[in-house]
Amino acid sequence: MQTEIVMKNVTKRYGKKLALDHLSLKIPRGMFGLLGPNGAGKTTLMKMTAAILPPTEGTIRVCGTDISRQRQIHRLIGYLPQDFSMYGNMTAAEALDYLGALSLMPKKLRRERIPLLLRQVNLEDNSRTRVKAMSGGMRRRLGIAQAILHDPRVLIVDEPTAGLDPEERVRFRNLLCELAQERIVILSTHIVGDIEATCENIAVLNQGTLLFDGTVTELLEEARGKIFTAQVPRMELPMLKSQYTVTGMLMQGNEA
Amino acid sequence: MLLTLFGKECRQTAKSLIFYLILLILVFFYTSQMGALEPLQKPEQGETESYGMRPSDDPQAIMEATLGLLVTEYEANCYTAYPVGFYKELVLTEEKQEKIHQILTECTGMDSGYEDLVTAPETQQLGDGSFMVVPGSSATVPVADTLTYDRFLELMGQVNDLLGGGSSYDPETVNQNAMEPMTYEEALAEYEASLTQDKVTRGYARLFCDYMGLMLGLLPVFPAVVRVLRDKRAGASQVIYARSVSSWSIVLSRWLASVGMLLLPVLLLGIMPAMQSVYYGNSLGVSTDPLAFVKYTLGWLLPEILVVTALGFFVTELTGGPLSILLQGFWWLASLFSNTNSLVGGVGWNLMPRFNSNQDTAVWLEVFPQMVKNRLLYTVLALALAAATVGVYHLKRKGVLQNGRKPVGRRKNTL
Repeated sequence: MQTEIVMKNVTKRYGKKLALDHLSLKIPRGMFGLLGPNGAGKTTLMKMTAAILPPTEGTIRVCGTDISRQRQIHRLIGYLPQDFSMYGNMTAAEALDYLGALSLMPKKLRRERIPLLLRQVNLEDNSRTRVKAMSGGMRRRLGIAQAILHDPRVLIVDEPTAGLDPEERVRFRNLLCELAQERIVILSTHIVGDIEATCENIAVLNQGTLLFDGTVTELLEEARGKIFTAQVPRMELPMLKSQYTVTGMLMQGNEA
Repeated sequence: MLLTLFGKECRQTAKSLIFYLILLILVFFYTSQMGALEPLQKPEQGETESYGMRPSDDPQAIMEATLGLLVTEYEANCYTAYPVGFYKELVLTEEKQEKIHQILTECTGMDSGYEDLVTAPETQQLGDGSFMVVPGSSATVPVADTLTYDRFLELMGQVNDLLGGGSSYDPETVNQNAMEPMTYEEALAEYEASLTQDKVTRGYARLFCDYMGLMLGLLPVFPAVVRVLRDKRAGASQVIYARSVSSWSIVLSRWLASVGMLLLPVLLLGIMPAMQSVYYGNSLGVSTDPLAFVKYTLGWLLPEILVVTALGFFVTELTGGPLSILLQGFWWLASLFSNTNSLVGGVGWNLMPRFNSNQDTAVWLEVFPQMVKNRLLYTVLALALAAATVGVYHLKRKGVLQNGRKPVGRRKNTL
């Protein structure tokens, strides 16, 4: 069975609103970044790949299986939604055990894997901490643990670093890179730094349209000659902003 | 896997606040309403002036009493009815009064002169100068020789329809208009039936189910709503949707766990009265049925828990809100009040059948076939609702439905 995701002419409409417009994409093994601003269609694409939202048109095949075969797809994928949480009164270990049972894992296997995963996501000492008492970072790590609990071939993570402090963010990126060695990991984010640090292949989405599909190097090559760095007096900043798109600024005294 | 999930759901329910609130309500209701059981007393001849009353089974007496009541209400043009259980006074239009008049003419053979049969209310002045109103009694009315009992029931059905239902002229309950004192022999026969046919314990089990049924017609909807909304409140829906377990297993494990965790305290509450009634039976020297409470709880109360819980699951899954509490509240009130006229043997198709007596074995045997049909209907309805819930859950899981409608909107920052 091939380890790749193939999307052909995928379109999604919510009523009259077009969320994805005839998108075709091939995602190979390893880390794959899906970059785009809020509202670009990333979450819609993630949900469709996880077979919890049907496309209006087009097909998506995950490792050769069409997403209409929902149960087979759910065996293949692990999904960390953007706003992951679990029942507040469950402990980390109980939440994983419950979700493992929902993934049809035998009790023996759950007992073996849960302590290993808690160690892997650095929650070993928090196995009896209730979900409602966890910090945002801890919940995200629990989210990753539940997504890889049943050892899926595809891991889909939607905005996993949103709201994390810099240290947590670096730890999270490293963890995803480790996991990507033996599976497809799709990382959806609007944070360029996350993509730059972890992904070799990326796709850029904007308003439901695919703007770019290729490697990070190719994207940087395309941008060459179109991005400049300049040091200007603070007074000239409004004029500059009105003429060019300013992607980043650093203020130094009277200069920017 | 269904069993594993069932166990996990039961453990989660056992940790929830709503479970303990319901437990408290059930225990409070049981102790305040049922309390300690009264032992059966053998009637002794001559020791008491009355052995109680019972509805007449004499067609002539029933017709006379019912027509007497109808003449009284017709003359005053003031009828009493209990549509869906609530008291209501009705004043009929001339057209409807004329129809009642035609029915009375056919039943009594009299075209007029009803006012002479009615004893009007009297106002009497008391010694201290105050006044007291003595209400008039129902008329005593002759019944036409040509009137058969079947035709009488048919005509009373028409009167009941004219009044909008729930009146004293409902053909199924007209016998309650003519109450007769029980004879010593009848009282003794009833007592003997309680010992031999009911084995003492079954009568008490019916009384237990009658009381507990009142609460179980409403309470199960709350844990059902809480369970369904828990996924949404915890933000766990999507992560559960993306697991490989079937929608059947998810919904059925939740539903059955909710049912089981309500059934368990009811079974436990039944232990004490079961032991008491077995003790009473043994002290009277008759064989008892120690499992009577379990049998009656499973046959009588379980279908009620099943259907109320299933409705809660279905409506909440469909709408994504607590609407089912409102719906169940209406159903509960309607069931409760529509049975106020028949506390012993009020079965029909009511969600909460009534049998507020630990005796009346003959009445029980009479209504038993209807009771079986009633409980079967609600069990089938519960299964259908559970299957529909699975369907709704599955469509939501596939992203086709979102709380009963097609997904159109998105959360902020997720598109």
